[in-house]
Amino acid sequence: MHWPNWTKGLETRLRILLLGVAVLASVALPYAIIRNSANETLAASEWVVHSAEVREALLELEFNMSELESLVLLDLVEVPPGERRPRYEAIRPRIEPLIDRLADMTRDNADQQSRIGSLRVLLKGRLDTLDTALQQLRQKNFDAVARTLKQGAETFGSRETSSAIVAAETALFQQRQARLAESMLFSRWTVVAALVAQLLLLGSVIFVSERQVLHRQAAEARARLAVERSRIIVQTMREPIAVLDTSLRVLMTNEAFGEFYRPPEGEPSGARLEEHGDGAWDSPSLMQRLLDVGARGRELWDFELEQASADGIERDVLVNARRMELSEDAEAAGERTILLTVSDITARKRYEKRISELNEDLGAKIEQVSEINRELESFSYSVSHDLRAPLRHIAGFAAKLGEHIGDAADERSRHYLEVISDAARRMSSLIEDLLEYSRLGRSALRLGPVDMNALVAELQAMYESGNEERSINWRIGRLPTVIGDEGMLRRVWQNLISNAVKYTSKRERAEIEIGADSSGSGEVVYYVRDNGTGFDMAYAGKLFGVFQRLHKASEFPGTGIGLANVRRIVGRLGGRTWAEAEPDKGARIHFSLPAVAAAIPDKVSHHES
Amino acid sequence: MNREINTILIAEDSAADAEMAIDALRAAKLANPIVHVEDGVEALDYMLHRGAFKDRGKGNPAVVLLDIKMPRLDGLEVLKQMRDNERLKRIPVVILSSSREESDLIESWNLGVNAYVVKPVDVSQFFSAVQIVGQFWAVLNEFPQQE
Repeated sequence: MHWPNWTKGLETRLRILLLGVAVLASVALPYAIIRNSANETLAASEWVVHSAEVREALLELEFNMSELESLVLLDLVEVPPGERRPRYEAIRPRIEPLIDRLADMTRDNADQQSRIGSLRVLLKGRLDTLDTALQQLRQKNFDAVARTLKQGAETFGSRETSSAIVAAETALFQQRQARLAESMLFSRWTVVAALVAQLLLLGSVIFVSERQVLHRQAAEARARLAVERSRIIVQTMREPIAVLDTSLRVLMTNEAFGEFYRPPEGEPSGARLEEHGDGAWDSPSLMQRLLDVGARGRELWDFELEQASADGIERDVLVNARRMELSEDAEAAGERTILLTVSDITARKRYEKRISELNEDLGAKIEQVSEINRELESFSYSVSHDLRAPLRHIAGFAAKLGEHIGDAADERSRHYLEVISDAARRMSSLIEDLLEYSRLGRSALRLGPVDMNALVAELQAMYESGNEERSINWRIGRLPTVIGDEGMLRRVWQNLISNAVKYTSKRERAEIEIGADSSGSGEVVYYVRDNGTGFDMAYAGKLFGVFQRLHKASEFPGTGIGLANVRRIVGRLGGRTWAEAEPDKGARIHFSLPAVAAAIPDKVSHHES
Repeated sequence: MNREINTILIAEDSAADAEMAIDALRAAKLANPIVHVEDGVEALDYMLHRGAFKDRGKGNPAVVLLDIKMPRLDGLEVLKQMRDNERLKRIPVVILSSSREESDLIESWNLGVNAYVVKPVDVSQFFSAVQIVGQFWAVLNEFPQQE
């Protein structure tokens, strides 16, 4: 629970941090750059102003110097020098501070300083020259004045130096102006770039938050849908469902609950469970169990109850209840609820009753069948015991009669006695066969895997040893093992093989082929084919009947029970029997057994091989 | 070996079967007297000296030939009572019956029969079977003398 929350918190924090960095980058950085370039611009414009001031100061110096010189010259040419003197005296002291100011202003530029230094020397020379000339003027030594002035002008010509200073300053001025323009351009682009970055940031913030809003809306829609679905499920469940509080007040029910149990008049919600359904919940033991569910969280599991529901039908129901753990908060606030579900098992109960009734019926029928079987058994017993005794006596006393008459008997008497004995013997064997046929039908099957190859090989050996004088060509294929009753299957093979041996007895070379075909769906078909007398297919339907014979007894002996036994045994093992034949060409007798029985031991024999 | 000649007891309700059996035993020329009773009650009476046989001489039969299906008390019940009786339990018993039913065979052998012979329909076979049984149990077989 805590792990994902923690990661989620970390992620949120990281996102806020990244957003902060982006805001800082797009707002603070441009601010810093613009501020810096504004400062630079301010500095550059100050430098521009400075250059202008330097030139202005220089011009003022030049102007003052020229005025001083022109005042001296006016004094030279105009006689009354009277009022120009004070003016000269007024301007003269301005020169030094002006030079100082210039020097001060160009303190940062070594070239200008040196130029200003030489200017200071030149101007000093010129001022000294003017001072000397004025002295000479006062002495009225006009020639000396002219000479001094001329000499001064030649020696201390400062124009070039001034021009150089102005030119240098102008060059600086242009340089500074260019830098100013550059700096202004840079700050303009910075502003544009910052604006673009801010727009991008704003756009992405809007995009992200919009997407999150959409996500949240989709999640909310999904949650609403899930809630709605579970509500619909609860409502449409055929089983009555109710939510109770721990004092068994009904907080919520589904429609089925309302259909089963009539809600109380007035205010249905908040009513106690007993007030629902006209006394359907009156069982005090159930109420106690439900209170236990609420108080101790013990689950109520398949409580069986008979109730009269709202439609007036007496129903059998199973009541299940368990405490619902909503959340830790709800639990702490004491909001425990009980989920109560009711399953209607009336139909099931009815079926169970019906099944037990049917079982009783079946039991009675089985009893009847066993009774019939017992009767049949005692009938066969009587037949075997009582019917054979008189036969024995007929045969026995016929023989005794023969002995008694002895040699006195004529040919005819002997014949009659013979016929009597033969008839008795024949009837005896018929009874024997009938008893066996009946026994095969009712004795219990002893099922197990039966190795058909071994059975057939054993019988083949038996018939070969009894018929050494005959030439029988045996062809025996692979015979799948089956699940069956070994004794009964031996009887089947014995009947089929003895028939084949018997009906080929008139052949010079007898051929007996035994095989199996398990490719058919769900069954294995075994067959015995011979090249014997065969029979007409018109009588094939009689072949498997009791005491049915298709040949004369004088030709081939037998009672005609063999194939009836085969059919009865194969039928009991779930198979079929059928035959194909042609008179004088031979016969082919088939019997099938279920492959379910054949398949399992077949796998076993594969493992063994 | 000084040995009393014991009887051969035949319990057989069918007069004709009994006649044939007695004939066969006589033809075998056995020294043992042959006693014929017609049901199980008589057979037990004979062996236990009761009823009509109260006064017969001492000694157990050398062999008892029992038919199964008899009036009143059948052969299997007679066999059971013999095996439960301290005096009779060692007497050889041969069941001579028409029945080849598995249930009869199983019960007979469970009760401790000494031989079970199915009566053959063929008269000569019947004769020889009875003669063999008589000769074997009455002459060849040795068993401890009682009393």
